[in-house]
Amino acid sequence: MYALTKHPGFWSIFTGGLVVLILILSAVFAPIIATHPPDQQVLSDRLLPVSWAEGGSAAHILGTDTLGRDIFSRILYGARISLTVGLAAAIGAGIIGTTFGLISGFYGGKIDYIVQKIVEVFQSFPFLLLAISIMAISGQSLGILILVLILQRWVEYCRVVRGETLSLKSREYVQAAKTMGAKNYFAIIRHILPNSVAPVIIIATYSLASSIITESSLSFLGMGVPPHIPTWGSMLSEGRDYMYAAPWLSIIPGICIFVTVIAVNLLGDGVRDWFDPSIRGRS
Amino acid sequence: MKSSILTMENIKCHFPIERGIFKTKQSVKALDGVDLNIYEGDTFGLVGESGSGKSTLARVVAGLQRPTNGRVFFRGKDITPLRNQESKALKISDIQMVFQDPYSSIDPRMLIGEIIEEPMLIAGWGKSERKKRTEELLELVGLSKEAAKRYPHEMSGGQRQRVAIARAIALKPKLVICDESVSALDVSIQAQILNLLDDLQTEFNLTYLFIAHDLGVVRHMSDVIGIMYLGEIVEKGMTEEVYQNPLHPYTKALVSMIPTIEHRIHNRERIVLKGEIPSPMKLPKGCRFHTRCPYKMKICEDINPKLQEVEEGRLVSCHLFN
Repeated sequence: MYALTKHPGFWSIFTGGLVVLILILSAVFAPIIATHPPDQQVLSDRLLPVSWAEGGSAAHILGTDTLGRDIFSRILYGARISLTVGLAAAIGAGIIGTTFGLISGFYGGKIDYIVQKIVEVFQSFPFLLLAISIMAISGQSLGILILVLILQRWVEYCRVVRGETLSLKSREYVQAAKTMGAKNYFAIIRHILPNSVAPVIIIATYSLASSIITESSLSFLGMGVPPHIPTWGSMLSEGRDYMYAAPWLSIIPGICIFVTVIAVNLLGDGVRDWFDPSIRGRS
Repeated sequence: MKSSILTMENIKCHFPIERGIFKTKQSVKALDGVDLNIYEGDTFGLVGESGSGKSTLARVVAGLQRPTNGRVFFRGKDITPLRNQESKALKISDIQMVFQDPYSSIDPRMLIGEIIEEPMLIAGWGKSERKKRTEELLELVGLSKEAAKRYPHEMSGGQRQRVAIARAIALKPKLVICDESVSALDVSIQAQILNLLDDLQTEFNLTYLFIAHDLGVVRHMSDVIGIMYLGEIVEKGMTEEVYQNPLHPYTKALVSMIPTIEHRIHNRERIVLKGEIPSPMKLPKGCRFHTRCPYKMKICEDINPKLQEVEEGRLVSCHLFN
């Protein structure tokens, strides 16, 4: 046995995991950490810069927005929605897309044709129109928002996993499993899924980030979360109008999204390396 | 008299392909009427150049490919359906396969132990049984017990092929298909693996279907050989007889090309075939071989000869012998 820290991927998992953990904890304990209620408006304190800049106030660590709301508190509360939406959409779409990708690639023929036609329909259908119709039918809620994002994202997983499966299923070790009498699901779960996990992790990290952004554009159109509830995406787009006068309005939520994406990416990379035997033992 | 373990009757395997905007239907005739009989305890060597249908034949026997036509019998039972579907007629473990490339025939993400355990896992063995058998197998194929905890990338090609062999014999099969099992290895490693296969055959009374394009290797391994050309068996007989006295013009050409030391002494004539093997999509009319045959006659262009017995246990499909 060698030290855990020497295991490939350990430091990536450690760093990425730590940051993700901090983000999740700060979202969970937002009411305790926050210095102000997130929707408290103090118009006399509008557009205060960050506390260490000239004109900043110690009461508002990261400054205030156009309505005098405390940005630090809004970031904390915003993390709740943004992280939930991002993670749920990435994971949900990942599970659905990967499953259909495996089935489609492995069985081929008519099944493949049908699944890929569905994928094409999803790809060619304007996403906003789909989102609007679903919202119009079922009303707004966080669950519906996540569902819409999953409907948008699963096709990427499906396409990529299908491609991987197509190449993996003709590998000799899958053929060998068949001559041993393995049922199809055995070959899929034991051989094909583990070998196609690397691209899935990459898509997941990317899709997490873009789901956070997409949520903001949906909210902007009045189809996501109600405007008074803070999310990183909506804070980012609200700040856009003040880019020159008050750049921190968009930079701070931007940094949060950036840090989340980097952390999840590191975590994903680390997990992939941890389970990849071919780089094990190298330092 | 040895009893027959595997019988193939008139196996045809055609792969349809659609081409061009008019979707003209053509088909690749990978196997076109193969009859084969393998006897218990024998090694049947199958020789032929690339594209002659050797591997398709192996896949049919292994149950990975359903033939378009014909039946496969294992000890008299019909096993034509695909192995992982309707396998009632056959104990799955009876026919196993060792693949060509030991770099792709074992899953790079799994431990050697897990790879060897796989057939036992599929057969539903308990954990301690699996572990015990794995250790036995590692020893049988000349690997250490510790190898079970290693990953494929830590092993050489020869060691990996030993792992693949251990996996193939895990459930005590009767027939093992070796599809070019040594052609991806270095010559010195080839010899080791061939000796291992030989030892295992004696120990467990295995029957081999041994596929190769290296005539020297096949001569060393086989009791009986079959020569394939364009999806057909053109000559079949006891290995030594075929090598000493090849009858079919194609076999003659093949045998004359084996590099030997005696060659220089006897100043044996080399028969160099002209041209390439024809496309299996457009098989030549008449005898498959007439486009390259040095002894071509009028009849060869029109009628495809049948595989006929010319001596006891010696079959040739050529008009020269009818």
